[in-house]
Amino acid sequence: MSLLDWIILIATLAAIILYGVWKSRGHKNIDGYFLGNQSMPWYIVLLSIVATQASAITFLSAPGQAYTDGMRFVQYYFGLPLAMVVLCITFVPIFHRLKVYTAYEFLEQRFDLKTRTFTAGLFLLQRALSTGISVYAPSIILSSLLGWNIYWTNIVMGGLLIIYTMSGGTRAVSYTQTLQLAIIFTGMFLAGWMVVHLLPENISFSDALHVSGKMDRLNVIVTSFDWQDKYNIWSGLIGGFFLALSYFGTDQSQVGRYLTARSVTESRLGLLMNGLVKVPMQFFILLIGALVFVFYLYFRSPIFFNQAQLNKVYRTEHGAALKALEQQYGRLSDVKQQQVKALAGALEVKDEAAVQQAQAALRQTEANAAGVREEAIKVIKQADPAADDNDTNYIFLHFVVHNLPKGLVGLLIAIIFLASWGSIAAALNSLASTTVVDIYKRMVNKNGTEEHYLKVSRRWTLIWGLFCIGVAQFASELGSLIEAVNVLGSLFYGVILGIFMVAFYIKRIGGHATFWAAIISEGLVILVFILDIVSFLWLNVIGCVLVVVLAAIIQLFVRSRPRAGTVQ
Amino acid sequence: MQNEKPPLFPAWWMWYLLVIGFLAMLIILFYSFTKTFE
Repeated sequence: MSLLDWIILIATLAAIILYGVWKSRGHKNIDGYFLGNQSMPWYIVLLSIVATQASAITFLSAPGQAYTDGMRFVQYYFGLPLAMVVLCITFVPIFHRLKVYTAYEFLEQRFDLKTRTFTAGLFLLQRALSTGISVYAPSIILSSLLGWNIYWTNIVMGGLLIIYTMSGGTRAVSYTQTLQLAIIFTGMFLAGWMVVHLLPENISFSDALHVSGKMDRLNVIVTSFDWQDKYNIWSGLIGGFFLALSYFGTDQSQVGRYLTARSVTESRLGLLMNGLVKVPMQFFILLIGALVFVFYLYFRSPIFFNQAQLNKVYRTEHGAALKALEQQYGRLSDVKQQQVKALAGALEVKDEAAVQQAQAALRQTEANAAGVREEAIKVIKQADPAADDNDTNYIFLHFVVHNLPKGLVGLLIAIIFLASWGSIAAALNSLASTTVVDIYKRMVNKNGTEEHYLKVSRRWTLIWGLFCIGVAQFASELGSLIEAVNVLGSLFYGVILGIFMVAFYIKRIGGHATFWAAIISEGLVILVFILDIVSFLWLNVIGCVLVVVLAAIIQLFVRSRPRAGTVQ
Repeated sequence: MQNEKPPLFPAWWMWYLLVIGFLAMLIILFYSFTKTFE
């Protein structure tokens, strides 16, 4: 990185920390610390929801996903707007009316203490581990590409935000997220513009789209159905709906965001606006990846995007074999450059026969290059059995570091940090609120003063921050990290959602039946995952349905009546 | 609280319809996009 890049990176991060600290003033109780005194307007709620969901992994992995697999990943978000509507109708009014700090608090009012504690425990386990991955994912990529020490990168990635999250609570989180998103969107727009700008002069944006489409990278909608297929319109609408409903309705890192709204109306507007903007936003991030793919048809791409891993192999006895494969791959890249020019030319004159011929030739060369790349990955694994053979997360940042002008590289790297901070800060705040409200205040110390709870809340924010950095220091071998986070979520979200579904919609079922149904269902979901029967998105549906069905069956054999009259 | 009036529209169900309708429109647009460039 150049000096200018360093200045921009450090100045951006310092500005966010100072802004967060400035917004941290004046907390006297946990009402302000965890709910921001319920004073946020809808647009702050919206930006906070978006920033919490969009981690650094979103901006690193999604373009890489489009590069390797096309844009069909966007279908994963199709269930989200539907989930927003359900949340606005059911969850939001109840949470506001009961004036809860956490979603799990409601479960004790509806069921009993053990169901509340079990659900809060599932959340803490899942959220703490996935936040650790959220710290590690961008750190490993930055450390590989820029040669930074991974341990220190993890500490900066997960540590600096603790300064304002610990002191400022939810209000500092929300306001810094707003500023972070403004910087992120500016940077991503500039990156997208630069990809098109860096293409050969005679290739317009429209030409690039046509080339990308002919190479199957604009496969936004896939209508064929397959249980094992992760991204088609059906898994996106159904599986994505359940995942989004679980995430936004029962994950405290999101519930805590819209509970800060000043009214039900502001919460609803924030969520509904999220339903309107999320899918187009994801579409444009993926489009950048599809355009980066076109860029690397016109210019040589590395055989493997994780340069640090290649450097490791060069130093072993397998180095010569790898270099030979790289030369072969380079020659195929040269052939591709000629073929893509022929394809673009044929597209321009609308010669269908020539288009098909050029497309077939380019696809054949692409397949040959993929074969050589597979060989190279085998060599990498032979040289370093612990190596991560998935370089999806490195593609976009490799493009940024090697092709964007000075200054913009620093800004894009700052964006990786800011995107991480936005989601990690919200996660730490939610981990602390769940620990303090659902466990400490409920079971350990019921009679503390407001000052005491505020002090404990700050302490737990720090403890969870350190824990997540600890997880990050040990995380590795997880393949596509965006997928790892989603798989982890899918293991628990379905069951948690099932508990809430019973709570909201089936009033004759009580806490005892729901508690045991949840425990059995969680075991079955983990079993289905281990046996690899269906794609992970379906685990959300399975977990939810299992809890509802099993709870209904168990209730038939349980004498105790459910608590009545708490929820309407 | 549940009867709070929404902005712009007289009832919340219209907002919900807008969000669902917008999603349907996006799916149709994306489908056309896929077919146009495939």
